[in-house]
Amino acid sequence: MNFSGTKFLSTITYISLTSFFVHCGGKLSEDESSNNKRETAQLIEPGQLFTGTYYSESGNDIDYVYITVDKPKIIRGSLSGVKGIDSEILFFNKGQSKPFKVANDNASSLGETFGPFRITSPGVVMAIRSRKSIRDKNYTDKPYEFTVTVEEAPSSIEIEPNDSIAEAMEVTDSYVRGYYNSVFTGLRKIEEDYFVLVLPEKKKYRLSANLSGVQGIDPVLRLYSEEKEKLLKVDNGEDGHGEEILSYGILGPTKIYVSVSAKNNGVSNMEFYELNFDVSEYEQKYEFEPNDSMNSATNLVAEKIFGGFSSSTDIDYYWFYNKTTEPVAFSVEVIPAGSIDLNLRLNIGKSSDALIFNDGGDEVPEGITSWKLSPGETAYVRVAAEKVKPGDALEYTLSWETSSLAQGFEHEPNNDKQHANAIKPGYTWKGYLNPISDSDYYIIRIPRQGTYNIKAEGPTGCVLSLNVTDRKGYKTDGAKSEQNKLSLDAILEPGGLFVVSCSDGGLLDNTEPVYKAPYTIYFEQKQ
Amino acid sequence: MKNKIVISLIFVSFFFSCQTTEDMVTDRQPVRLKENVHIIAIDHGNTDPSKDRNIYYKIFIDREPVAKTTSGLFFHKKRVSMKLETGRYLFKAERWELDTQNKEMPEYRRSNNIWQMPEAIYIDVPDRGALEIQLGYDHSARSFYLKTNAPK
Repeated sequence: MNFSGTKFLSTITYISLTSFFVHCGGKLSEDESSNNKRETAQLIEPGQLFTGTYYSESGNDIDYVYITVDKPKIIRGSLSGVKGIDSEILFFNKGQSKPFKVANDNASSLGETFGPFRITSPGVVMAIRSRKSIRDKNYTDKPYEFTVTVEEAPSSIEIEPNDSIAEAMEVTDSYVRGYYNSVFTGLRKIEEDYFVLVLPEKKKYRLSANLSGVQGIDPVLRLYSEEKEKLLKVDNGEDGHGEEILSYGILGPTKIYVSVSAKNNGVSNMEFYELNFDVSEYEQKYEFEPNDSMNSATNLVAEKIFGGFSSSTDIDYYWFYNKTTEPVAFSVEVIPAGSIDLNLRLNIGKSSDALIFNDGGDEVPEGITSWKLSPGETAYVRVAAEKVKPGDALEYTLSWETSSLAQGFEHEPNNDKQHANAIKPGYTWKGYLNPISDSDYYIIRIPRQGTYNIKAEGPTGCVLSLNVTDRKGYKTDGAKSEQNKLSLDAILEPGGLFVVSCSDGGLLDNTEPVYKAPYTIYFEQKQ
Repeated sequence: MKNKIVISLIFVSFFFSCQTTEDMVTDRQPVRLKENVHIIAIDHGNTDPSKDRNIYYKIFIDREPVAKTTSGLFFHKKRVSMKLETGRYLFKAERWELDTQNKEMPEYRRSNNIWQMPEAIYIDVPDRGALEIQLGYDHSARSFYLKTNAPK
């Protein structure tokens, strides 16, 4: 068949009329005289049974068939199995010598199924062949059967081929639809649908994407930069569930590529997926992905930030720099939207050891209270999900604040003698044992050695321990709370320490998270 | 009349002055005296360096813990000074030694009784001068010792 010019159109007209009659229960056999070339492919009608054989004297029989459409349509079809034959179907667009799809299950005797995928007018040429040469004349008695069905294409359906970044389909609407099917790309790679979004302006964009679930399909969503570097892989769901990209930050002008693929390739499904996009200008109340490292951390500007995990392994970093000339108390609270178990970490500067806050379980917020941040210091806050289950909501809200250091409040870090907070008698001091494994050190500021009464009270469920040390840090006295309260008479010396810690006596079962449940400590000289 | 008022004021002020001094003595309120009790703790006779360890003494006055000496090895002079009003007190020193098994926070523990002062004693704080108490363990004699500069 010749695909060019008016001859092509008239051929279509002719064949359309012919096929009308054949279609009504008709069966079409191959025309060996003409169907061995792409250009003279044999026309078949939708739903028509086409038969042929793999035998050829040369051993290289290829049967080309052609189906026409007057507008974009969805096709799917099947090729019956022939014993001993590993068959395949190659799909060509008009005038193209390289196939854009290949249907081959790499198995003998089983035949092939393909689609659904979209084709455009005037149609598609399909080459049916055996992957091995067949010179055995017996195969003339073993025909295959081939049928193709054509259906209306849903709106905004993907345009094949879109199997690579180079072939990505530009998305101009807020959504696009596509199909998972069992065919391979023209290069015999697992099919992946690529889309491209053009972000034309010089500004920060915020991209969210939501891929609907399709029964029987375990999908993977990927983002690529204009330079074709992979930015993100989202693979949280399982069979039948979709995937989501939340608030990914992109600096324009640029292009961003999105790909959709199925982990369980080979599953054909007539249900289309829908990929919704939300592109908006970035606002400071959102995290700015990628922020997976300290170097790409999102600056904490807005007091409340809406963030989310684009995958179970996604990590979000935020930073705050104390540009004032005074130390400040830095506090953070992260509240999960759903049932995820948050893991919060804090680094002061890039090289310090991370402090981990992960006492709460599923659905429980995590926080950092009153961390002393000296002038010029940068705090890096890392938010991650401890474990993600399919269906978990992956969003969270991060709130933060700074305040001046106030007397009477503990300021972290005070986890060792070198960083102990100074404490004076006659004041009630408030502190937080967060995480629960925290120990707070206070250096005792008194004029001279003396006997003091120390009173401390922890939150409900906290078995509070108070150790008293000499100035060398050696324990000289101590007490544990009963009913979360303790009282101790001890000889204190200037430069000695109080070390306060807590063991769990049900503390973690409290509705109030540990970073919001203070203890108090008070001491005065005995008369 | 004027003379009578002056005499009355002198009398009243003398009365209050005496009253204040009396209260201080009987109630044993802290007073701004110079430290007048000096305690020096030191062991004698230990010849085995491997047995030496950090110790201090907790000082009990009238059965209340009121002070502790500095800490140090057996042969170090470990001191503490106190201000006490003139009078008799029940004195006891309790020996504590450093247990370094807990590397994170070495802890002082009360020493075994064989190292301890066996009984509390009375001490008399003089109205003039200072009382010096020297105590510790005599490893040669295998017993606690205590001596003071108080007149016999």
